[in-house]
Amino acid sequence: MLNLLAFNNAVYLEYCTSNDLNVLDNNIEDAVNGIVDIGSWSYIARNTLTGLSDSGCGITLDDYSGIVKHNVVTNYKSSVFSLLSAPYLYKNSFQLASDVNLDFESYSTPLLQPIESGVLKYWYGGDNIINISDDGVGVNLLEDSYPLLKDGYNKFYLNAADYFISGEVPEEFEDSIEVRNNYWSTTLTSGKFNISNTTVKYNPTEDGSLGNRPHNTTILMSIGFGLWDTINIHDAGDNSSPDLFLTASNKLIDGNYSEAIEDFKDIVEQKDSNFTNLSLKKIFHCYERSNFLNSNFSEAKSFFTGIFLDSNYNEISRSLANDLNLKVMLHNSEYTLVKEKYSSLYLNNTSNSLGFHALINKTILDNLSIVDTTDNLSSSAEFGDLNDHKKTMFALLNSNSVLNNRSEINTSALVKDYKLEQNYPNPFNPTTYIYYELPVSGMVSLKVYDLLGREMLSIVNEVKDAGKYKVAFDGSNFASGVYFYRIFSQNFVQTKRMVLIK
Amino acid sequence: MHSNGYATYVSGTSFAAANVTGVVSIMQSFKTIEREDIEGILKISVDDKGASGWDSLYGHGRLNAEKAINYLRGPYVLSKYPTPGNTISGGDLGDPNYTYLNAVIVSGSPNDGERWLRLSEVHKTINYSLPAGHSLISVWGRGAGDASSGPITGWDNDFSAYYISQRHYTPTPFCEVVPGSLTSTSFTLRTYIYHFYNGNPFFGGELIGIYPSTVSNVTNWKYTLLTKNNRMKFYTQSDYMGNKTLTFNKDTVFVADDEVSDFYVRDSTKIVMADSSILELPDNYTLHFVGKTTSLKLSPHSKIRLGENSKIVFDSSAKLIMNYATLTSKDSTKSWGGLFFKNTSQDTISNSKIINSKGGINFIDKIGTHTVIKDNEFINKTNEVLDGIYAYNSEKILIRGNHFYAQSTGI
Repeated sequence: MLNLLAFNNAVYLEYCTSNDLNVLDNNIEDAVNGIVDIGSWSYIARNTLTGLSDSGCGITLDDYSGIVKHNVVTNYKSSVFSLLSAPYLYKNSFQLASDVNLDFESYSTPLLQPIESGVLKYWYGGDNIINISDDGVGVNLLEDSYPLLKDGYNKFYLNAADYFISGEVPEEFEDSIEVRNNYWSTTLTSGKFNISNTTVKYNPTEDGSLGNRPHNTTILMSIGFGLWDTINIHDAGDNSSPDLFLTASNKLIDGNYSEAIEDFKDIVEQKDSNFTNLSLKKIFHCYERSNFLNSNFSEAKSFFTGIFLDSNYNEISRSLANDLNLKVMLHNSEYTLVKEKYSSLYLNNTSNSLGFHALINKTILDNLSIVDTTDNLSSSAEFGDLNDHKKTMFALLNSNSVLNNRSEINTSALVKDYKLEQNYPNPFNPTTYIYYELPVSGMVSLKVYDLLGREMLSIVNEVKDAGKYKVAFDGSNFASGVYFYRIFSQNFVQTKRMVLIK
Repeated sequence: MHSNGYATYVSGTSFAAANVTGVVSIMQSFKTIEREDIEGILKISVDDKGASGWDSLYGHGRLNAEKAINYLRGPYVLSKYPTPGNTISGGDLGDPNYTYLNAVIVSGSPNDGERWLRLSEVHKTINYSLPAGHSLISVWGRGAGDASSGPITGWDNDFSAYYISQRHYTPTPFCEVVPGSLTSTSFTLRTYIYHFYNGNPFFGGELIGIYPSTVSNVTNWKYTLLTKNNRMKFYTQSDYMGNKTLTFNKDTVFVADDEVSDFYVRDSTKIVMADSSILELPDNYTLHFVGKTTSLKLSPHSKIRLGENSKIVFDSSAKLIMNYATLTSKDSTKSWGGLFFKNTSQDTISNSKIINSKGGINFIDKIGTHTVIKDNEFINKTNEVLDGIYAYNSEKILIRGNHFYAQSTGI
């Protein structure tokens, strides 16, 4: 039988700088994960990514704030998985993800709408197609993530009795989430949104139409290699000065980084703008693109540290600023210190997405930077270790709930390794099934924990023979929310997450 | 050349002979070779003129000195063989196919009288096999010999007292490939034995001598195979140090020596793999390119075949340029280690196939000039799961138009 599973990660970028880093026009098939960008902010455009069905992730983003446009992502478990990222998503087609189509976790603020200023519309984001398969969810929001969707003219197609958007929004946005002027394939009712702590603002008279995405001019943005990105603009003729975020964004495009930094800082100081968090990301972007203004790390560090320590800022801004400060420190070769900070961040968040983000970054630094003595990252990146590192990272990324190891494609009848599969269905109500595999017989413990790590239920606690197992978990007596299940057997320990939605 | 200093066009066998002599002396300065080898090479080193093949005006054709000399060096190899045994294909008295009778009258003392000549053709079929990776260019005989392994020494001793004495014989009697006998596995050599009679043998003439030996004594044959080594050894380490350019010949397979596991190309050495050349690396082997202006260029249709866990590493600004080329495993269902770039710049991998690379393509600390990975195919024909493109702490990389997919080995 043809083994279609060909690649772990087709394109995997780690701690690269956004300086002319482009992933364009690729056709990626038979890969578990299509494109993985960890802190690299690559320009991802016009790629065709076709997944292996019910596993893996098309585009995985951690600490990303670049542009993702015109991609066609089909047949993954999730089209996009985002941690602490603020991608600009424009004119992508996210098709038939078997689980959550767009999964935004841990302080992610994706832009799925144009940047508007009066009658000016800059189509940095929006106009995406989000096609939701049976039992799937269009957009999932977890742990203080908040999408900018208003006037985005995104098209959501829903085939079954599931949700366009589910999850929860940050406390700071609890009053409402704006989703006006997008296209919804079924008559819009509040029941199509399953956001636990807010009111969804939609406008039935405007929503539900395919809408109009006008543009009458463009600007060009150099992406290096003699290539240019075109950004569509609709200018209705207003001569008043554009809003600051737009002005600052244009300065960034023009390479006028120091002025852009000042403008973005002004937006951050306003504290309550929808663009506060995006601006924080962009400030880092400007520093990085300008090579830290001749190594002016201290200015960047003191700015981000200032936000982190200022209790007037909300938790999202402070967490983002803290994380960006760590990235500045990485540029300044303070690896040992950053590693310690990610370690403690992980230890304080072992069971949530922020912890997962910290674990990803801690693992990279564990594997690639030595470096208690020299802090010399380059010399540590030995090739022998590199394959091990990639293997570790792939396993780590796949241990996340949205990613899945592909038992369906494994044609071997023998169980060779321990395995804890993602539960199915997920999210679920009230019953789900958990699959696991044992290569040898032994004591097995499978327990369910809540977000705070409290043991809620012991599902298995006995000696089992080698083989494949399926157990049911009945959540009837539990509240809606995120739960973890963890398996222990011999030296094997693995934890996965499941979402109970009632 | 005319005596007045002007060149004059001259032609003819005697003028050609001077040219041939020149070429032969150049050939002999290259290598100590036997007369028969020189002749064998000259015959195939001509540009055919006039009628196809041999003709009376141009003979074999016009000698191409460059061609002749090239046959004396890599990738061409002269392999000389002796082989024992023979087959008498004809020449028995009365055999119409191989018996030619002529009468000659010899006058004067001491052998006055009538002499008759009978010719016997002696064959030897040689089964040959070429060294791995070689192809046959030509084959020729270098003489036949007697059982003592030397050349045939002349008259059978019993008849040595006769008129045609030993001192007249060439030390290595002629043998040649029977026209039309060459196949991919064998060819036939032949030589002739002359029997002399003092009268018509059909009417009582007595056998008085045999030249150059008896048929049964023709037990040793010598021949030369001219082959082209399509698998050149990947030279020695010292060839790859120092500012030089090494070109891997077209249509030639270069094989790395598996006695070492790490091979370094450095000090501005540039390797150019010509169109359709192939480099083969053994298992667990690492080919390193180190230093600025050290480079590997793969021309279109060139290919590197790597053994399991074998890697190519570019370090400290060493550069790879490949276009319409292929990196693949030696065994189509197994993987190889991967391609690694550390502190490199301006690499170009375009329109190429990267097949079965376990570790994919990796960039570490690639800062500075632009690198392009464009319009390549990343193909997995193995049952393993491979890595794709990985970059760490790098910038200015264009990953564009690449196609990643699995392919059944059955296709």
